[in-house]
Amino acid sequence: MRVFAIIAFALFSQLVLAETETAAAQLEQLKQQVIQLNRELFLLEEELLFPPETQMALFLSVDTGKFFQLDSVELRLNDKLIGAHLYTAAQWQALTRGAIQPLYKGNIKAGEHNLTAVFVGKGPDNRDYRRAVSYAFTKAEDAVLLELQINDRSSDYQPDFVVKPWSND
Amino acid sequence: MVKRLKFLRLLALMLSLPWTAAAAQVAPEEKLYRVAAWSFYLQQPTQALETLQLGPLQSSRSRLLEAGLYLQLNMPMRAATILDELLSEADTAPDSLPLSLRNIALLQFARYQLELGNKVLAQHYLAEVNPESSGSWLGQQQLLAQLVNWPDIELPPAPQFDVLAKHPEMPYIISNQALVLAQREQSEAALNWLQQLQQQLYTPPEQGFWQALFSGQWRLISPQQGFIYPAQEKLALTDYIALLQAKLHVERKEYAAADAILTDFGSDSVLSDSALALYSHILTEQRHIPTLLAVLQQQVKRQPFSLTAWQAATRIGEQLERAQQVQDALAAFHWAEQYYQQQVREIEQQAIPLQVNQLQQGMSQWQQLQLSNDNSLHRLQQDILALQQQLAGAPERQLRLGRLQEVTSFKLVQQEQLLSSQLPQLKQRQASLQQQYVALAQQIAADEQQPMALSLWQGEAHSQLSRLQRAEQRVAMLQQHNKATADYAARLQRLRGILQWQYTDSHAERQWQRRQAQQQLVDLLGGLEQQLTTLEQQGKATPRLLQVQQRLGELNSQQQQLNLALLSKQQQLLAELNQQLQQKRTEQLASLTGLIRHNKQAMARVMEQVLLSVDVAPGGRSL
Repeated sequence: MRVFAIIAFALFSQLVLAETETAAAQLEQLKQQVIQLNRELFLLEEELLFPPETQMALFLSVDTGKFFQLDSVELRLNDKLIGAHLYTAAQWQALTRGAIQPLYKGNIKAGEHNLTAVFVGKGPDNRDYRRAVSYAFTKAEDAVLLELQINDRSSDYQPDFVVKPWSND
Repeated sequence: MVKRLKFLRLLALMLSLPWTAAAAQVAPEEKLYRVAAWSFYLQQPTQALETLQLGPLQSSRSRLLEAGLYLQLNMPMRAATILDELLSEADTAPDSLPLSLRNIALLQFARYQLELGNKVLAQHYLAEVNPESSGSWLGQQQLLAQLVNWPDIELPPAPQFDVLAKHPEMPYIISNQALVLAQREQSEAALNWLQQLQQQLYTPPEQGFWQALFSGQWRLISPQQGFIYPAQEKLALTDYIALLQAKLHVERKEYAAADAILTDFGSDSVLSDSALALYSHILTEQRHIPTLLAVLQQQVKRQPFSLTAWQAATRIGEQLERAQQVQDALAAFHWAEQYYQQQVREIEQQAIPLQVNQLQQGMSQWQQLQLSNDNSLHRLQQDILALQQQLAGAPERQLRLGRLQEVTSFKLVQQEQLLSSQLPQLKQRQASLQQQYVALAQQIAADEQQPMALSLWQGEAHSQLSRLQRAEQRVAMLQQHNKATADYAARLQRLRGILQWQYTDSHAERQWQRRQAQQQLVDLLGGLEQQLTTLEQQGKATPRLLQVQQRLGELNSQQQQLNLALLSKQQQLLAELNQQLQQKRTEQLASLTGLIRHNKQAMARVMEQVLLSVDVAPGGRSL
């Protein structure tokens, strides 16, 4: 077995060495192949493990984070805990710089559902703050993609928590 | 010449600069861009790239981020292709890059090319930077221009402290200019510039707030102007300028001035090795033997496996010989001889071929020194480690592939069951229900034509009508047996009349209820049909699943080939690294052999002097 592996390795080495490209170009090509392979695997995973008929994905974004600093978020679907996330300083900073966090991805049955997200953190004046937001939706053929938004409400200097569906286009 | 690295900071700026406030309605590409930003900010460039490439990349901003991520993954050629496309787009195009962002990208890419050693390409990208709008990146641009065009750099008539005041690159730019001045034989001007630079960097010792308050100087407390350097960088900068000044003084043969600078040079400075080398040169010139011996010993101690230290070892003896301390010189040469032998032994022990797993941890001191002092060896090490990282991801990829193959097989079995048994059964049941419903609907329609059909009654009225019909049948039977039933018949007739009236009275309501119930049934049957259609649709997924299964098989073999290619390349690079290390070993051993020979000659010479001095000494013993 080992001999076979060595022969195969040697043959392949010759093949690789036969190429006239520079070492840097070869390295980059190999890296590109790995990236392509990973991407194809990701797409197949999406198709097989999270088909649109059952997929539900949740995202989280922050406006500027002036009136609220997120410590953790808890997710409940039909009163059943489906996920929770505790934020590090780097993650919070990423959110305030405009990044959207892919928070949850799973499969659910078709029909009526109710999502509840509980946000825990520091509100205005650095006070402990806990707020829940609920969202009822119907799961049909298309994937359900929801964005949990934490917005700054300048009218009363309070944070505002919204669930916004993404269109599937 | 000095250069600084700021890749990630620049890339982060590239990413954050075009942010506008998070728009309420965001396009799909924008969403992917922001999800990719999440991975980028969490130092996961591969994942960020994967997310970004999920959709078609149309906006220049997304493509720029893609190029930046390729750079972060050390894939400059891909980055160059994207960047070239982006830069070739007209500035007037609706989606063209903002000029500031374009400049930042160009600067970053030029810097990267320079670090790869592609000076021509670096010059090409740097030339594309729009100097009028470089603004806050002026320092970066000037420094990069110096690095790219070294030593043919632009020299202003006087150092531009005002223009560069807010740029952290200012001391590097000015010191490089001073260096060029010195090269152009204007060392006095160079020293002058360096002195001015030193003054710019000088900050008076910080006075405590209370101290300032009570000394009456609190009105003078004001925030520091210009860029504030981190303490370590500032120290290194100050040391670098001092070292440059000392070098210039040495060139001008002003040894006392150079000596004065180097005497106070910090032993913990990052530049202390260079300072020691320069100091030993000055001391040699000035013949400060005791101090020189101490400096040479320091060099030997602090710089193992270096030519400077090896030369210092023999120079100790030479200096003692020069000072006519022949006995001590002989001892020093003996020590140097042993030192060289020891270095040869250590090199032979430590310069063994490296394995991949030793590259991060487990290298000998000699190997570590070679890799950190030689750019080409360092690059080889980084390339091998990058390949190792790709190889380390192979088991996970294999696991994902295996899981997907399992899921596909499972789904195919499900499909098979669905198509062969479940779906026909369900369709049969649905057809039977449909038939039953049609028959019932026909029955109801027929009954509705009758004046008082029993089937259309329900509840108490249904049982009353049933009883009435039974009673009527009984009366009819009695009539057949010639019994007197006229009274019963009349009563039954009245009862039928009442029921008829009730039937007519509630007819509309019951008909409405019936229609509702029928409609509900129609809806349920419709839903059932829809579900069956969906199932049928899913049944059609078999060809796709078979395609996926085939593709997974292909990916599996592709993954095997890729792993082999990665391994092969890694082994090739490792062989190259080991070969270069062996070359270094041979060169160093040759240098040591030369020094040993030189030391032996010196030793023989001194020994001769010792013997001669013994011979000529009065009362001395002869050999």
